[in-house]
Amino acid sequence: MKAHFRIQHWFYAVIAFVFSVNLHAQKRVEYDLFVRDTIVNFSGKQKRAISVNGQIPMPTLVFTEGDTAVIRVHNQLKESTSLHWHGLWLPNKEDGVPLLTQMHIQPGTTYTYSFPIIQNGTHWYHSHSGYQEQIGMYGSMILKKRESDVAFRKGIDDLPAVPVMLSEWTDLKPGNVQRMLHNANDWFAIKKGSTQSYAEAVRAGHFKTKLTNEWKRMLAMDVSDVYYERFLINAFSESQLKQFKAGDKVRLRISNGGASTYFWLRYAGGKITVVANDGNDVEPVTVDRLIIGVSETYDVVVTIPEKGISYEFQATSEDRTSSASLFIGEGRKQLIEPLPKLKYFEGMKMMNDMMNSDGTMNDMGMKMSLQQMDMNTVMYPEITGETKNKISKKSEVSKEEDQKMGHSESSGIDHSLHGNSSSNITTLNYGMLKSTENTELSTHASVKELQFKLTGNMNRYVWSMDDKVMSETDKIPVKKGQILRITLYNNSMMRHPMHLHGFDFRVINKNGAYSPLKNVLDIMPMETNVIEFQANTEGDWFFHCHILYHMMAGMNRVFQVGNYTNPSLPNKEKAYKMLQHESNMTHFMVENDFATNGNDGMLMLQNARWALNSEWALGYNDKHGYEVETHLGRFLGRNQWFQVFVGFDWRYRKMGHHEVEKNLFGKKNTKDERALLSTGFVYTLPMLVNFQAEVYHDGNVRLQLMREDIPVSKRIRAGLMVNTDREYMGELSYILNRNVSLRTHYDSDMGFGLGLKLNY
Amino acid sequence: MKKIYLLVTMGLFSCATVFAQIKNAETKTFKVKAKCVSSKEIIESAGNQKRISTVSYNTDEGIATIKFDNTKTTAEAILKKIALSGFDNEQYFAPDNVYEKLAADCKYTRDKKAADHSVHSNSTHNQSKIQSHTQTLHEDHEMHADDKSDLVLNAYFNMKDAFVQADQSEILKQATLFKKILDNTLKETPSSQNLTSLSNLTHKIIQEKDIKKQRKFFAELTQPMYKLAKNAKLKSAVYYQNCPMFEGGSNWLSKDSAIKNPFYGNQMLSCGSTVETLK
Repeated sequence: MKAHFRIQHWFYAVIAFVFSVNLHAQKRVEYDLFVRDTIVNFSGKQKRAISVNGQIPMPTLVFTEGDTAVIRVHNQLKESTSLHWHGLWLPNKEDGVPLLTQMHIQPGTTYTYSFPIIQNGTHWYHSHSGYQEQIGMYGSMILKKRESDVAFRKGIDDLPAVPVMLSEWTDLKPGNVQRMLHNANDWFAIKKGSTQSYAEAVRAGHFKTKLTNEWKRMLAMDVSDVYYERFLINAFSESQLKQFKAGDKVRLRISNGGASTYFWLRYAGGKITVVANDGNDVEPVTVDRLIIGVSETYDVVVTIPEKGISYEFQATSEDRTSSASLFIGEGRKQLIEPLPKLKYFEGMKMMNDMMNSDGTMNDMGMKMSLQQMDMNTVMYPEITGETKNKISKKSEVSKEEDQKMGHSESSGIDHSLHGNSSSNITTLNYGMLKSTENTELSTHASVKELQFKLTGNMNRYVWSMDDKVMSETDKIPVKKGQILRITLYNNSMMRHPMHLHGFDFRVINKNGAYSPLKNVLDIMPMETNVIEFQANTEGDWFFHCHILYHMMAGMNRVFQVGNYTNPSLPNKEKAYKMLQHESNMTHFMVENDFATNGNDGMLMLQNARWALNSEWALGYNDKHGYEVETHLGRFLGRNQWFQVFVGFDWRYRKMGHHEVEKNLFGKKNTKDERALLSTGFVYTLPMLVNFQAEVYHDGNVRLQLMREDIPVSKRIRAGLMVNTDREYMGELSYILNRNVSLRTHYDSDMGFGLGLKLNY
Repeated sequence: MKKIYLLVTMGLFSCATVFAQIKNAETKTFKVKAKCVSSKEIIESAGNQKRISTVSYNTDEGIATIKFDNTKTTAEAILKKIALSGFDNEQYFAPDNVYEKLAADCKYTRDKKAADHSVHSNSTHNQSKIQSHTQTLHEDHEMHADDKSDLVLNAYFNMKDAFVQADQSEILKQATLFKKILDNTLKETPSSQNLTSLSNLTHKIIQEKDIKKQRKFFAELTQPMYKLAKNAKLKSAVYYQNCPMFEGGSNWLSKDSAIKNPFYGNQMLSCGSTVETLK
């Protein structure tokens, strides 16, 4: 692998000098951060990114507990920015959330953050503005423990440590990624090979599974939503730490700075010992592998077993499309076996079982919690074995190879045993984390109990808490000093890394008084977890899903602790309104089929609840006609299967001399031109069929059934429409790339057509 | 019209020839470890990429010649692919699991010590141990009581693993083996009620076809097994674990602290908790 990454203005690194002044043993540690636009080449294409002091990731900031941090941010971008110190306990005004704890740092200005360091551990920092984190604004923040600290652990805290920053890269602009997700564009699934079309279902012997899935109105399921070109460790796909030798123990301070990717962490040189999580010490626990949620941090210790060999530490994306490697030690590189591909249809089957027909998930209560019952396990071949009746090409090839390699028939059995016996793999879960200190909260403080249900709508990519997005909720008032005990229940189909600003919370597990402290809680579908913390710092604290695309879709809340006057935010109310607005942006989509018989297309503007869409069919002559239908609708209900709308319909079509149009209800139409107001509703039926009922101001009624985007095969989509105006349409399209498909259709008005469909 | 047709066909052909060639070609040679004849094919197919790279492997000298487009890939990337298919080379060691899966005659001598952390080899190791134990049991009747309970426990663990995997043929196999060991032990201590009830329950598991009912019997096995483990001198820790969901709460024994739930097969593998650790 070539080192694609080119540090552009690396001389800036030199400018970033750190100097310290001794003040009665208390040190003032200062950093200057220059934020600039840059061009990177991670995937073979030159793309825009943001560097800080000429670097991606941003420079590692190192402090010792007791220091005072002074960080000057010089914004040399053409847009505003901000920096959030993830996992740090600090005054609210230093927390770095624009419009909540400060105003934006405007282009060309310098902003100074200053706060005392009152904790230790592995943390990180990132931009909290727009889509800047995705394109480079993430970096490690190491808070060292003082050697005189009673909690200093010999054999762990004195080991050589390396900051490890995980991230991912897509060539698409992250804003565009968000837009595509809202439009249920399945280009990412095609790139990932996770379309789960009918053809693939039939081949895998899962036709019924797919049918049930669509009957329950679900789109193809996946463990993550976005396709990435590269996964990166400290901005490299592959790199080596040659400074370590056999017998050395190395502490990796790992932060997941990915926008939406959970990573599996595995080591070719043996087991992994976890010593801290989210910057808080835990009793060492030894595992074969662990998954790190978006924005979590883990400190792990690994050992180099043999002289002259460098062992692979691998971070594989949860969807297993690819991985990044860090080789630890000098010499020849020992690889680890890649994780086998997910068995998507097994996952789909599991989803079908968990999902009720009203779109809710089964509530298992506290039986499912703390990552201990991972439903995704059914998709992991290394644990549940290879698919038995797989007829895919790959297995045929490998079978042939087996035979060629002189394997007897028994080799098949051997392999299955291999797959199964490795269910000895020990995977870390939150139940195994035990704090090194008693973490119990004061028994004198009053307790406020809160419950949140995590909710979502995959089809329209609306993510919420208790079915409300941030723009629909006020801040949650909390008295200073009060204990917040929060029960979180995930009733959505995806896992969510829920992050709390400004505090560490206890994750209640079997270790009772020694329950671990965290600031990010990964919560899997159907899980219920209880967290608690004492709100002893005033201010407005963000609580949100750290999958950045879920956050931008509205999965946020704010805890308003005490009555805090924030000097950095003069008009709090107005700022909060703006923040709410930013978390429910309007997304745009347009498509048009340039066909032999006319133009078919649509344009849509939508946010969490509203959609304005306009569909058109423009023929090339008066007989084929021209038609535009515009609807403004609001989605109702949890699953947004119901939409009410008002509309305007305009049509011009030159009719034959005595031609009379008659609809199914016997109503006649003889006019060439008509312009009608209408109102109606759309309801999503099982099999994802849209039933639309519309009544026009002239009393006409139109009922319509439509199903679009039936995944026939990996790239072929079909669609059908029929209505009571005796109109019908059938279409078949082949997806060429993200924006272009080849489409053929038959339309009752315009006849047969072949065309090129462009979409944005 | 015909002309156009011809042109298109020609165009296609010329394209095909262009595709077969590698642009910006660079050639390098590397030592790659291999032994058997079939390895040549595996190595070459692992490294070949259309229009990007070709690999030719000389089995006698153990040398791979790699020709690649240096704007699209690197020699290291190709060597990595070769290593991932099971063959050590100058830059990379193959993953241990992949090497283990090579056919016996393909296993070359590696330039490193055998890995002792492999999960796979561990479990197969245990199984063979059990089998050899059963053999010695037949031949040699002078065994210590502790060895016997160890034997019973190990056979139980194997059967439990079969339940974890929800593999019915494996369950049948392991249950039969377990019963054999129980009955052999019973011959020496015929008065043991514990062993008798274990043997009877195992018999029910063998007779039963429905895995759900087999699991019920397996759950009933736990109490007598727990007693047996509690009284035995254990060589390694045994974990007494609980699943709150099965039959209103059921227990089992395991030699691993990590939860591998035997009552739901692979669906709820890690559901449960350790109640007690026996040492």
